[in-house]
Amino acid sequence: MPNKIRAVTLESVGKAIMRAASPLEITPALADEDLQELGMDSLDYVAVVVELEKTFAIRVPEDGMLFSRMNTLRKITEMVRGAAGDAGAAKGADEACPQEGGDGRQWVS
Amino acid sequence: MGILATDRPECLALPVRLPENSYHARDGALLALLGAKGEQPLPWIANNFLNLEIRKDYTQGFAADFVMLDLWGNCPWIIRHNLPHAVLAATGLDCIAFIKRVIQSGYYIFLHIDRYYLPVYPLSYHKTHFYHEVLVYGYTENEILFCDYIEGRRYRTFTGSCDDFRAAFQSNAEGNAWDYLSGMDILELRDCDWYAYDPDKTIRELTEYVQSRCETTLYDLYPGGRETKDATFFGLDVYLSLFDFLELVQENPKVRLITQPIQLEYCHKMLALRRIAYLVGQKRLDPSDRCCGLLERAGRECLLARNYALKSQAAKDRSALSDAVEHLRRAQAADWEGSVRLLEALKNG
Repeated sequence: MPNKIRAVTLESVGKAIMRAASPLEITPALADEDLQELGMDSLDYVAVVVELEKTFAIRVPEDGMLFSRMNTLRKITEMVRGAAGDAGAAKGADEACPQEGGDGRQWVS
Repeated sequence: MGILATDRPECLALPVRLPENSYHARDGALLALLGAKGEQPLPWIANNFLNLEIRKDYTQGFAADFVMLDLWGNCPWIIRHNLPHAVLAATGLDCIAFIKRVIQSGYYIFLHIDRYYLPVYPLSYHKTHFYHEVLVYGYTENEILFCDYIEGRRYRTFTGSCDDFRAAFQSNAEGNAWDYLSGMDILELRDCDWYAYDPDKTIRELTEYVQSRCETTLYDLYPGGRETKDATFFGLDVYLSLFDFLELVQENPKVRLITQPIQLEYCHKMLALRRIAYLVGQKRLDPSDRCCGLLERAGRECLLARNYALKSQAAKDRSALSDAVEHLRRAQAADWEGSVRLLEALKNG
C-alpha cells in the first residue's frame, strides 16, 4: 500500500487485531483490558504482529514482539504509533474521523 | 491458571492445573497433574527437567523432532498402570464406559488418540491420520474432557464428543507403531511427603547440561528411536542443532519450518527460572547472584526467538528467521554463562 498508511487509532489497531485473532471482539472501550483475559494468547499475538506490519507498513520493534508487554489495545496502539513515527500526528486521531476508503477501510494519505 | 474441577453428577472432572509454559504432551500432562498437588511437588520439579534433548529426524521430509527426557517413571506423585489394548478388548467393555468408570474411581488416563476424528483440532488434522497422546481428566454425559496442545500453543483443555473420542481411540487400537503406550496408562495421583530436594542431583545433571552430554537412562519411546542417536543433541548443544536446522530452512524452501524445538527450548528456560525461584525461596541461592539475571535473559531471548520464528512462519517470510537465529545466539550465550555460574553457586553452597 504505497503512500497510504492507515491512521493509527485505537479503532484501526483494534480492527487489525480482530482480523488476525478472530473471533475476538476488541473495541476502543476495551482499550485497557488485558487481552489475555479476553482470550488472546501469545501465538495469536504473533499473528497480530504480522497483520500490524502489513496494515500500517511498519516493522514491530523487539519490545513489541513480547505479548507480556503488549497485553492491551492501548499499549499496542502506542507501540504502533511509535513504530510508524507518527505519534504526534496520530495523537488526536482517536477523536478525528479518518477518511473512509471504498472498501470500507479507513485511510489517511 | 486455576484448578479445574466439577462435581455435577452427570459430569466429573478430576483436578488439573494447566502449566503456564508448556507446549508438549508429556511434560504438559505431567505438570498439569502435579499442579493439582499445589506446592507439594515443587522440590521435585526443581530437581528435574535439567537436561534437554533434541533429535533431528530427517525421515519425514526434512523435519526436526525432539523428545524431552521422559520423567514419568521417577515421579513419586504418580503411579502408572498400563492396560494394553488386547486386555481392554477382551473385557468386551465399551472404551467410553470404561474411561468414565476409571475417572469415577479417581484415576486419570494417558492414551493415544487419532486427531483425525476430533473436530476440536484445526482443519489440517482432518486431512490425515495423526496419532497423539492426551491426558483424560473428566467427562460429561456426552463428552470426554482432555488436555493436549496444538503446535505453537500452550497445553490446554479440550472436549470431544463421546462418539468422536471412541473413534479416535479405536482407530489407534487397530495398530499404530507410534503408540508406545500400547493401550492406556491409568494414572494414580497420590500424596508424597518424603521427597526432598537433592542438590547433588541438580549439580550432576546441570554439569551434564553444560557439557552437552547425558548419562541418564533414556526411554525408547518410538520405533527405532535410539538408532538415530547420532543425530541426538543434549544440553547446550541443542542450540547448535537449532542453528543447523534454521540454516537448513533458510537455504532450502522444501524444508518445512517447525517451531516446536524452539518452543521446547523456551519451555526449558521457564522451568530453569522456576528452579531459580525455588532455590532463592529455600535460601540456597542469593537472589542477587548474577546467574539469576543471566538465565532470565536467556528465557527472554528464547521467547523472542520463538516469536520471530512464528512470525516468519505466519508471514511466509523466511528472511525473518535471521532475527530468530540472532536471539537464539544471545540466549545461548546467556544460558551458558548463567548455567555455569549457577553451578558454581550451588557447589559453593
